Amino acid sequence: MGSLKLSSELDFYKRNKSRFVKNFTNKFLVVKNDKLLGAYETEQEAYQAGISEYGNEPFLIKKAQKDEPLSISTANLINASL
Amino acid sequence: MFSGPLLEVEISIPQALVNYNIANGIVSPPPLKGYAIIDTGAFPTCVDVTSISSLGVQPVNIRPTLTPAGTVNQNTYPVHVKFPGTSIEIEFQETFSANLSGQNFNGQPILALVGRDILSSCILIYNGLTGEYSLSH
Repeated sequence: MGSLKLSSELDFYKRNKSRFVKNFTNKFLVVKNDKLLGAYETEQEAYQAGISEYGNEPFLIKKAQKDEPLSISTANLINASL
Repeated sequence: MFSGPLLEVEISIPQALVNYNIANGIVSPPPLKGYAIIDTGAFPTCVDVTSISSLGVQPVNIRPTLTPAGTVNQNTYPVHVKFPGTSIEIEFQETFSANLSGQNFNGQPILALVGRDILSSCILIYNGLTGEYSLSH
């Protein structure tokens, strides 16, 4: 699938995670490059803010929480002809 | 051709992006139409990454995902999903991406996997002997 976008934004978030979680617990943070745009109550508000500021460009939306749940995907097993 | 449970699906850009395009005189792409496979093993629902990218939607996150190949990081995307003929229409603030390229049914692309986040409000009955299934919402 190629390289992932938002790797540098994720690195920035990880470097500052403890501070973000402390100051913005459970808020949705918008990060672009090495800048925190803001913290928002909902993911929808965060996305709207990011679009308004950056337009249709990649930006990271991360919920400031200590642990991130793991999701499960079976996509690699899918064969529509079965 | 015998197939697993499928739903017709339309995926399109999120509403916030529609509004941005209108404000900036940009023509939004039309919805992509195809099928979604009902995947009780998946949580959450995911959408084909090539299809989302073709709509011009940008990712909003990187999340770890447990797959048969191990834990991998994947981009996630906001997307609007509609299932024609049903009352199910969802504005996902974030959905996982999956590589479904090459998957198709009756010449139509497989665009998504319907996971337990959507199925949690549905009743799915699947008769493996006859290949028949029903999904009520």
